[in-house]
Amino acid sequence: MRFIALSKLITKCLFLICLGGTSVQVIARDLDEIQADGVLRHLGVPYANFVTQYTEGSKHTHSGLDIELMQNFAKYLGVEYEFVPATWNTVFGKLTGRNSQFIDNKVVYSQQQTIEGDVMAHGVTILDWRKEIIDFSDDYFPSAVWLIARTESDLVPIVPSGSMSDDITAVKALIHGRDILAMKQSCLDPDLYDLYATGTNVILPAKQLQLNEMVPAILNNEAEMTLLDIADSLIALEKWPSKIKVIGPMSEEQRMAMGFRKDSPKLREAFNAYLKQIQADGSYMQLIQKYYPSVFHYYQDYFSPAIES
Amino acid sequence: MNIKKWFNSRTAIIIAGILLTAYLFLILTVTNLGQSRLKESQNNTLDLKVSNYTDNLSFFFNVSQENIANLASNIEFKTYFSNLAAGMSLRYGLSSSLFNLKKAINIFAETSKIDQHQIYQRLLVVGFGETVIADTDPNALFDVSQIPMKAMEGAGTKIVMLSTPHGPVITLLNTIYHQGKPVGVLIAEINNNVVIHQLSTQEHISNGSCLKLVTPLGDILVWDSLKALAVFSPGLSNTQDTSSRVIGSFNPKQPQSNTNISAHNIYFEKDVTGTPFKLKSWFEPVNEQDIFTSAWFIFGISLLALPVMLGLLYLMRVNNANLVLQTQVDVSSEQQQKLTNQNVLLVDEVNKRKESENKLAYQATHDELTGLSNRTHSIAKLDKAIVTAQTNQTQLLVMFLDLDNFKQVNDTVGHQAGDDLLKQTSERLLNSVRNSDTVARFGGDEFLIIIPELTHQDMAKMQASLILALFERGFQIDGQEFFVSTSIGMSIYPQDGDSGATLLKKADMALYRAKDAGRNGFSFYNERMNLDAQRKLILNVRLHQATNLGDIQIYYQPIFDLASRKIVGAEALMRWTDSELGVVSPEEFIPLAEKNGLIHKLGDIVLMEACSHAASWQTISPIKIAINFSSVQFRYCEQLQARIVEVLAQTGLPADKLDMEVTESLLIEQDNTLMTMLAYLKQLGIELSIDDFGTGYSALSYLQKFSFSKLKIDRAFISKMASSKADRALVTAILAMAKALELKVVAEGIEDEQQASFLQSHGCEFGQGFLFSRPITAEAFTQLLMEQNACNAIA
Repeated sequence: MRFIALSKLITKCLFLICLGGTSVQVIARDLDEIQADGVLRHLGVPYANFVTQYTEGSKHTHSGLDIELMQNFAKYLGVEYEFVPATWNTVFGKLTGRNSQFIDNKVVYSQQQTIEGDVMAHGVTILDWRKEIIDFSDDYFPSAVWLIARTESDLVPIVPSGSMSDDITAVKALIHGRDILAMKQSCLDPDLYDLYATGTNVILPAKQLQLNEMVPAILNNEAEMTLLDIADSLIALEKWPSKIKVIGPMSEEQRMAMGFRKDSPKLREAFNAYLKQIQADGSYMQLIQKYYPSVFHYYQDYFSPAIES
Repeated sequence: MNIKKWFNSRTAIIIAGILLTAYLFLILTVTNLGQSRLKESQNNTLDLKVSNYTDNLSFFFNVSQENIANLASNIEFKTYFSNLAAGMSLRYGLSSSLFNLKKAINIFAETSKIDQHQIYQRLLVVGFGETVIADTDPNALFDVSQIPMKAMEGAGTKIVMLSTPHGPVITLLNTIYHQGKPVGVLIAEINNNVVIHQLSTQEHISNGSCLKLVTPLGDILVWDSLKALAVFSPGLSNTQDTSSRVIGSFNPKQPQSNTNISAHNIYFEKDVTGTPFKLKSWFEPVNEQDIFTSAWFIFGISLLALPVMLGLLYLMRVNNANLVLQTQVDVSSEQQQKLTNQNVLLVDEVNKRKESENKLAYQATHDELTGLSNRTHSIAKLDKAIVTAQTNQTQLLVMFLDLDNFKQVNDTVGHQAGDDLLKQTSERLLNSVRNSDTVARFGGDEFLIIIPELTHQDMAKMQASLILALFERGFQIDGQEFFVSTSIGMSIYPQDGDSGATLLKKADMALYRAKDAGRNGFSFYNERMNLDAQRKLILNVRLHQATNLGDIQIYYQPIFDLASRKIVGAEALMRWTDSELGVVSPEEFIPLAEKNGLIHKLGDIVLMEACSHAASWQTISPIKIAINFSSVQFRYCEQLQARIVEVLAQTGLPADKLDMEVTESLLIEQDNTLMTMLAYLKQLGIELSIDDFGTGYSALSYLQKFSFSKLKIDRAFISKMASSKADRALVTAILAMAKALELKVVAEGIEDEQQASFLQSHGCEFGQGFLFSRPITAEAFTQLLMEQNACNAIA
């Protein structure tokens, strides 16, 4: 015990020395440091019902499925919870200390920066390029990307064939020459689905958009269609009933998970353990019911084991 | 008062009876009236109630249809049908809309409630292709063919009856439109319990009624309490099992089975506006319901009146008995009060008598004036004291007191003053003796003091001196001061006697002795006193006899002229020689005669005899006769004066030959009558002489007032003249004074010549005594006078 305490002290001293030497030189925090520090910093980008942000003047109030999950996780760890707001463009840098972007199907790293958070959780889809930068926890939510069009569009939704890949092919066959809204760095990145190869006219928003601003954009006639993940689609269908319609799938089934720094495996393991626990005791299901009541219709297989368990 | 008399317990009971009877009749009348009104009122009320039910039901269906219409046009319905119309597949997006639609109807079914009852037991959304899109009870079968889909394409809403395995169900239909075109029908099955509840809110198990909702598919029995109340179960459940239910049973084949509807029930039938239903109702008339009606009620009230009347009668009987008892108690109490009053009077009387007896006893034993023991009581006390002294071998002193000049006080100041004096005296006496001593008023101014346990005679002297000293202080009576003295006589037990009477007698004797000794003194009894008293008693008797028998002799002592030595007069003197007692001195019997009154007779004898002799002697020599008059004789002045005049006339003695000799004591008690008498006698020529001059209380002033002609010097002065210079001087002085006052002087008791010579030399004119002659009888005197005449003739 004494040895451990001493080593912790030495580690802290080294950390402080490093901080004094180079301002950007960061020693990553894992579970021990977080528990010693007494705070879990949650990086989040407002997205669907995972992280929602209400702004009233200068005051921002955050809530959502992931916020609640992380708060409960902090409680589970016995530390304070702190929310660190971020954007899709900055969130990787704030987590790992070096921002990374997916350009031309490659990961491009930028300069080192200060680490501001310990975990990123805002409905992050597990994508290959992201795995290069961070480690994902066990997945906790299913996802896919759909093609959404305005109701008055002459595009007719596909008739489900029973095969996902056939359905994707059918959808891609419909969009030739049409304007489609997509977003880089997110799950709606056109490179992820080879949109350019379909002959469609990919429109990337002129200014930085949140994912939940995609539907308003097409309703604003900025494009005829947009890519949208299922979580956002379900919300959009409720928010703008009879304004939009779902044409069909653009991706195979995806999974969402929490993102951790590669050098904080203990924290990731701790979360996995926590996730298993809440899936077992039913509190996880209650959270899903609360934030995505209609998702069960689409992913009965995904949730039923949890329900069963 | 009249009202009070009239209002007694009997009248109170009668009034109570009348009031109670009136009250019962009033109740009957009011009840009867009330029942008639109630019947009318019930009809009106029931009519109103049934109208209310149908109106409520109509309103309920209206509102429910509106609610269903609202649901059919809400956002979930619009979204679903819009997305469906847009061609969205359930796989990609439409299922979320369907989910929301289902959620919406489920929530609507759950939240639509009235009085805790769910209004809709099932909601369905059916497309015009007769496919069930959504259903709140998806597991139950639903026969879509019963829905008039064709009709619904044209009509917006409809109320129909659907037959289900659980019986007919009232169902609301509402057509769903998308962009103005009918796309489906919203079907809402109404919970029959709600309808039943709506139609039975105002029913009560105790009121007999029956309600039925008539529908095209048959009747719904809403309520039946016309008979067999025990079978009735008021709870409304959601179960569809109607087999055992009286209420809410739905039996289209036997619409009136299990009911007790009869012809006399009040019946109403009303349409439920806006629906194909009718409400039929039967009610029990009021007079056959639980409210007590005519016959039974009157019978009950009459039965009630009977014990009440019996109770009142019994109360009256009890009251009568009570009255008799009360009267007896009152009479008894009155008698008791009378007896008490009499008893009080009796006790008062007894007390008064006791008081009176005590007072009498006190008065019998005590003197009223002074409060001292009276004579009788004091004698008794004395006897008692003697017995005590006998027992204790002690001496006892008896003191007898007499106030010396009480009579003077009484006569001069009055009896009231005398009484005051006696009171003050008794107070002083009481204060001077011991508590064991007795002071008593014996009578008049006499007091008796009994002093037991006398140790020595000196103590008696001390006590007597003490009492005498009490009188040294003056008595204050009516602002005046009086000085009174007392005389005390004392006797002692046992030496002076052993009985009360003896002791008292002896003390009395001692008192007289003390009085005789000059008053303001005390004296003890001795045996000599007793002898004196006995002699006095004998003398008294003998003197009476002597007076009557003429045993009193008159002797005459010649009075000589000292110068010529010739007889000029004679003094008549009484001599009594008793056959038993011998010679009795005038000095002894005259005071006795003065006391017993014989002095008047003796005086008369002397006057008569002396005057007779003197008259006879006038022939021999013109001598004067000197006769002694007692002052007692002058108490009856007028008689005396008349007698003197009479005797002078009888004897023929010239008045100027009578010489009346009186003592100075007479003059002291002088009054006008005496003055007048003396003046008259003087005027007749009778001479007045003062006897025994110088021995009594001499007040020289009277010598001037009365026209005396002579003084007689007492023999005591003459006999002591030779030996006593003082007496010689006195005699000389008297002679000088007489000369000055031009009075003649007679000297008594001249026994020798020396005395005669001295007297003569000093101017005394006359003398008498043994030197010249002893007192001699009348015969001897006559002889002597004749001898003197012979001598004178010789000379």
